[in-house]
Amino acid sequence: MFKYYVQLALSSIMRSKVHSLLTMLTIALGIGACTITLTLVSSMSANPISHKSEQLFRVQLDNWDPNQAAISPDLPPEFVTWTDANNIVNAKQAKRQSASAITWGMVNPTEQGLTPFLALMRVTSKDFFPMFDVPFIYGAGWDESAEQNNDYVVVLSKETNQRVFNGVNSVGKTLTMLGATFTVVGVLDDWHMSPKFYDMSYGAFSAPEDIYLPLGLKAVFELPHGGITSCWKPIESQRYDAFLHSECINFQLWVELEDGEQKAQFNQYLTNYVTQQKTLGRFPRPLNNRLLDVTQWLEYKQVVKQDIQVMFWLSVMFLLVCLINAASLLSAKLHTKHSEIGLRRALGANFSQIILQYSVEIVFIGLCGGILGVLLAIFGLQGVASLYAGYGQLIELDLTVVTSVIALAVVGTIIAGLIPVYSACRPAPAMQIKQ
Amino acid sequence: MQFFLNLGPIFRALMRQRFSAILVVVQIAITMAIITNGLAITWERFLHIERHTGIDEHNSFFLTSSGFTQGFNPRATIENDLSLIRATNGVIDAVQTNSFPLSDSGNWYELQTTTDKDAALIPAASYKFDEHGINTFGLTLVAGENFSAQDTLWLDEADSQWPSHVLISQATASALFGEAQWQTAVGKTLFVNQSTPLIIKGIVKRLHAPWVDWPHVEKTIISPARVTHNSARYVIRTQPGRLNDLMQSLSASLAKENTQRVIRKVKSIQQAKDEIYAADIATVSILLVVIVVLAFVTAMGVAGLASFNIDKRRQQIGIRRALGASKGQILQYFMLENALLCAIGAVLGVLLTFMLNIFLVDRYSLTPLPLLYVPIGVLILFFISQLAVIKPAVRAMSVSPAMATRSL
Repeated sequence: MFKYYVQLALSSIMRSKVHSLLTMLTIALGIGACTITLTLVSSMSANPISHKSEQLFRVQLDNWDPNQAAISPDLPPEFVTWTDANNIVNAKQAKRQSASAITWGMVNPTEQGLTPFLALMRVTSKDFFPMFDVPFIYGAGWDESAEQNNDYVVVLSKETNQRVFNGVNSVGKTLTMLGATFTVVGVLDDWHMSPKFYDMSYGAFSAPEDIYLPLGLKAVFELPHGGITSCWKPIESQRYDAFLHSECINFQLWVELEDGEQKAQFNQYLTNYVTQQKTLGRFPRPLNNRLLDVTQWLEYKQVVKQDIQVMFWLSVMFLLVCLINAASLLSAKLHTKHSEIGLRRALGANFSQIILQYSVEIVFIGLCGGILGVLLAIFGLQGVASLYAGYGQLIELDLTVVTSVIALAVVGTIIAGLIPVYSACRPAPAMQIKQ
Repeated sequence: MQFFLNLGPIFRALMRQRFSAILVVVQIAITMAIITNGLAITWERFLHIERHTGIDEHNSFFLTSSGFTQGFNPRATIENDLSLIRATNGVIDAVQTNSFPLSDSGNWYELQTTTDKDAALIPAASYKFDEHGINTFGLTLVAGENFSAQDTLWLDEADSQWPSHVLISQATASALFGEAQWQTAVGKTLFVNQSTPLIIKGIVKRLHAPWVDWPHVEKTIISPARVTHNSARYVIRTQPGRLNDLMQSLSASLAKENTQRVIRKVKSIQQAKDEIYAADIATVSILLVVIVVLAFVTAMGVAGLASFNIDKRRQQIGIRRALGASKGQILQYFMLENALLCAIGAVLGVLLTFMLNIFLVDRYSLTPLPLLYVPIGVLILFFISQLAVIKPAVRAMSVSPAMATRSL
């Protein structure tokens, strides 16, 4: 019986090719628009480290102006001072802890016969690499003693290693930069967290840095303050270390805590730390420490642009219009079939058989429309990606989105198509045959 | 009168096929809600992007010179570079600056007219460049005068000294001295950091801050200083049509002139603008595509329903023609039927438009829809659907009266 319905559906579609194609195209447009916006939303709200998202915490302390909150109404600043970054990292109260900041400097690979270039750098703690699951092709991050002694060690990104060492294993080789000789200890594999949650000061979708070096070297080389620097109190003098000892914030502080118990302990440590600092005349505001995990942090930073969410809602309404349009096209088609339905019912077909028979046709149209829509979306997304120059390459169609929109297309078309079938079944068969 | 008498039968005929009529009405209503809100967002963004920053955006570019050797002399390099650039054929003027509009990096200070602790603080973005800046950026001086060469201070990176004279933008002057008295600001003193006094030497009509989304984007202060730094940024204004070739040739000749530094980040102001507004440009483009496609889909739906109705009523049209209805009256009937659907759709559409807008404003802090957009939305929908119905209606018009005698 089912085979017969399929035959009927195909012959009905073939009989009115233009009409069926138009219906599919209408559904495809709506599905295409929804797929595009849904992909944008999902790729921007992606959590790049979801497997340990509940174990990584952003640390915020409130060292701000007693008369004015850092972020209104009463939120602590997003970054920490050099003093707090070093104190908390050195206290080692969490499973892992890292403070980092963007900086830059000249790399002068004269031994390699290359022209000097300016590289974006990240000064950070050794725990940065294991905390964020940073992949290495060669070597590893630096060790505890290198960190304590401020050894001149570097970790290169894959691109930088390609540029300077032609991609060979450069661990143990030396590199002249910042006017000194550094030893390469590790080379990263491709690594681009998106959104770049651990440091979004150059944008949530900005590229990772070229070179990583120990945090302490920032003071040794008096490296520039990249990212966002903000001060509520004038700096006492123009000397570089006056900035480091000031209340100016610039550092991204993260800790890894395994469970609720560790989190509670760390929270207690932070409270003690701030209370102790208060006795030294710092932290004039009330206690206001914040620990946000990655998911909470991304939500707080509103990584998904509001525009895209607005477009998502508009595209859902757009899909609704397309489905209504498909419904009216299907209902117009059904009107030409009233006598056929009447005939089938007069010959003994019951209501559910009629519904089943037309459902086959409708599901087929919906499925084709959905698939066509995904194809449209693939082309559309290429256009959209070129519009979002900065993070266009990060927009990818994922399988969940594709399967869910195709399912949506089928369900939507069934609802849109079966209402006219239902109304066609109401009058007495004899009346319909007469027409 | 005849016109309104027609509405009765049209309405009753529509009620006989409620389902398809309701579908079209709902479709028109939703389309109107999307188009009206979409157009409002698009236009707002467009105005935001096209806002004039005060500088010659079309004929200017910038580049950074970064010294890297121990013996690198920043001051001598800047002086040499600028005289080389200014002497180049096709260059109108050039300046070394800490920042420029659309660059997205810079700093700001809080200004006051007194040193009183309680006086209002006016935030203003800080630019530091010499007397060539006015000409390089193409700024308009509306009061007072430009810096002289003697005003300019050479500052060390760590030196927080201020020159004695500054220029401010008209918006800064208005904020400090009142909307009506901005012109009187020339010669007056303002204070930075609640302590340093500065004399206002002139006022420029418009010069935006480096950050496009800064709430105080129109407020800026210019001090005549050249900060020596291992990296220096130059802004270069060229004669119309010379931008692209000078971007290449100048960066090459600067790199050759002094090998103790690298030339990087060579970009036109227009490129910087496109990058900074990339997300807004994307929003505008996507919304426009959605609006056009949606209008098309809805037009197809309206045309589809009309031609379906006409096919069903060929005999009836024939009877009317045989009874003496003119072709024009048949055309009028279908146009009127469509207008009626459209009117019902518009009532529902206005409601939906506001509901959608309230939802978006509430959830995403969008600006509320200006009321003017509602009649615009109604007119657009009316126009689209009347346009869509013309073709089927003309077909109906040509049904011959002889049709009355035929059975379907």
